[in-house]
Amino acid sequence: MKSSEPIIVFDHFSFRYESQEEPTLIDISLSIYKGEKVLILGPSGSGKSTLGSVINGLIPAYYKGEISGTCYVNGQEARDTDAKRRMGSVGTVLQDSDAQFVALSVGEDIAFALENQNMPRREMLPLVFRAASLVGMENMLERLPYELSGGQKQKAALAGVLHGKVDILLFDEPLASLDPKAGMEAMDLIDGLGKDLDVTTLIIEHRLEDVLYRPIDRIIVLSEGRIAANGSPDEILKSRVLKSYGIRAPLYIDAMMDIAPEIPLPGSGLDSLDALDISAYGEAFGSFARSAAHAPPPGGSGSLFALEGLYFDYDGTPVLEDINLSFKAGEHVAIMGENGAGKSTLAQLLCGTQRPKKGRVLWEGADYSALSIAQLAQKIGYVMQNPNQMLVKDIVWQETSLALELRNFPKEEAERRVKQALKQTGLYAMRNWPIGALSYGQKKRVTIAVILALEPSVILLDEPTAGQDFARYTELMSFVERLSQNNAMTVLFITHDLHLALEYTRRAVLLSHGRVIGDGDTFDILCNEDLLDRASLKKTSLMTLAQRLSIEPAAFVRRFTEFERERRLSV
Amino acid sequence: MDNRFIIPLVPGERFLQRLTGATKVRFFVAALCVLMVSFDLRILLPGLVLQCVLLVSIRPNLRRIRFIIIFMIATNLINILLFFLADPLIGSRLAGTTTVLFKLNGYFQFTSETLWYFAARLSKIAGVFVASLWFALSITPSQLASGLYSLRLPYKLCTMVSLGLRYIPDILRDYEGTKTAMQMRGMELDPRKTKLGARLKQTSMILFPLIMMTFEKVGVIANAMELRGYGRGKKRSYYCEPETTRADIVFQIFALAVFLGFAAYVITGLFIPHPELYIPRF
Repeated sequence: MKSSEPIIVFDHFSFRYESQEEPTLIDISLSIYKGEKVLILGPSGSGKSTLGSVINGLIPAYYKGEISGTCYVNGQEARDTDAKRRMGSVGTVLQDSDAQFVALSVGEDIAFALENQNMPRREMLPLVFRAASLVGMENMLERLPYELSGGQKQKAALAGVLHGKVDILLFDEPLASLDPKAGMEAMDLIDGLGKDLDVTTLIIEHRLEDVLYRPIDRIIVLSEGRIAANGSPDEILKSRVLKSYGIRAPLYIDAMMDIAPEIPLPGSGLDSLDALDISAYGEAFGSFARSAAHAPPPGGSGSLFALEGLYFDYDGTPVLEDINLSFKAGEHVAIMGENGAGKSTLAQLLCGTQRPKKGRVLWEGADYSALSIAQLAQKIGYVMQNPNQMLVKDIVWQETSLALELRNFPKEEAERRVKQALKQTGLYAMRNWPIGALSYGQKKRVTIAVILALEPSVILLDEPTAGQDFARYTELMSFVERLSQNNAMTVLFITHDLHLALEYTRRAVLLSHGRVIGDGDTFDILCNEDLLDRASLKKTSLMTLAQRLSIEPAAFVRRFTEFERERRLSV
Repeated sequence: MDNRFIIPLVPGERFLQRLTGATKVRFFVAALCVLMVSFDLRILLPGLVLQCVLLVSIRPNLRRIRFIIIFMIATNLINILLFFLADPLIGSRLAGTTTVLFKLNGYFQFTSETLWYFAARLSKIAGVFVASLWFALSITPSQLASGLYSLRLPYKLCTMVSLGLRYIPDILRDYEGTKTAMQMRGMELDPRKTKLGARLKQTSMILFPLIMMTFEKVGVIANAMELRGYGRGKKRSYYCEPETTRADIVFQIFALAVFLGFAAYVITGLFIPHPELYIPRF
């Protein structure tokens, strides 16, 4: 229910954080109207979160800095330090759903804003129930934060800002910590609430295709602190500007533009594949899919390590049951499944930090139970999801050499290995940098260098691309790809990112409720709708595209992935 | 993540657990005052019995608290034994009279006064311990915060308490992650294989990133609280606090009476040397 009355107006607005030399937002001019649903798109560091902080009042209440130009939010000037009014009318859901859950039960967390208003408990209870009902959490008011999934915590956070008169809902990267199914649920909820409560909705994200699962009125693209584009989804999607700003366009748009550039894109409705008329593409896509090369055999030969009848439980609750898998040298495998499917436990068992309760793990035919964690680490290196958990030293070089020092490697050998690992990861020039001065992506690379210094034959990456935008994602993944080609290394990815699996692996293993439900060629597995559904994964739009044109999905997706890969490598 | 602490996060169903945080905190404070200041077995023993009754009334999970109870009993017996070895006549010296029950030799004599003194000492420590145990087992962190707030403590202080308890499991999880990463890199944390000094050094290495991660988190937490209006008003209310019932009022009056009675006892006793220490004449 968009009206012509603006609720947020930026006019030549710039902002510089007190601690920084350069402004983070530069000359922003834009209007957002009452009832609009706007996506603020941009790569990491583009200033999109800062824009959010201006709107919800954290700037200037919490972050100090220099403002020029003007910005009105709901009639209040941005410089107005009485942030109370603004924060009350802007409901913000932050990215880190765990840290923002400050209370010890769902009900208490939803009530937090009311507690701060010193509202008597008796008045609070119906309001908490009402807010919880809006997000479907009314039966979970007693639950503890430790018992909730990321999606449930996010719903509680959302309910917590729905009290009173909320005019604007602001979501900061709502998809960051959710698996694909939960992400779709979140977008549904956001869409429904926007309509029911008649509020203005702002979504800050970089995962465009996932946000477009539900209609958006307008997309604003930020790049390096400036507005790079501002228009309807149709205008933005047609313009092809996204890639140059480090944003991945929806895959179906890429397919339509790249496979058949001669066919003009439909004039409107580009944001929703379901409603799009794609009949014009039938022929071109059909012959494209038929040109698919025959499935190359999965890389590698001979079993390097194998899991036999693996079983594991926590206090009697089975987490993994009857796991039988064998991995070859040089293979690239995606291990996928919903949150809680047992992926992380499997990783722990592989690395020996947990040991199977039943069954065996065999390394080149021999049971690994005699090997210590440290000994196993020289065979299989585990790159954790959060690099901060792995980095303990001050300087890049020290960090990389620590494992070798602890193992008492001879000095020359250690030096050689560290040098090589740093060169492979492109960090050699930064070898004397303090860890604290590195970006998130660079830290991630240091953790890989740390693992490489031990020269393992298998590297296990836990959600390597979580929370990274497309540009960083591509950078990291092509780096991992080069690395494994040069070293003939076996690479296992634990992920729920379908694109990653399709683009970088030849084999996929699907887990669900602690069991292997699928193991085979990545394209065959990930184009099997029944398997995807059981593993809480979302089918790619490429698959929908093929299905609608009655083309064999696996062949089409395989061909398109190869096609994109060739393009990527030729650039 | 399972909760490995004895602190309950969900209010229990027993009578004591259903009282408001304000009542529980007041009752506990009154009990502590009496037990910590008094040295009179005539007060301490009934006090201990009452605390034990309260503890039993919440039917604690014995398996969970067994270790801590055994630890408490063992350390206190050792404490008493050492006291006795150091000065077998301590009670008699304090009382000024000596009633020997039996003697091993000239040094080790068992006197009624010393036994009385040790009984008082034991009931005092055991009473404080049992009181702390029922208190910890019957109050959630949020109720603790609201209880402290009801004693007119600044609510920011109370929030610190509950927030700390909220995030301890998260911090432990990060600690486990970092520890695992370090073990994979070859750090040996097994006490049989590594000396204490080296282990301390390695553990401190884990703590550093942990502190950094915690600081990062604190920023987000502060934002989340600020955005929902924390810290703007002078007063605040608590969602977790159940409605005050008649039982609450009875308990609060009782706690107040105990506290006032004891205060009177101490104040009047100020003019008598060692007022709180009472040893009868045998």
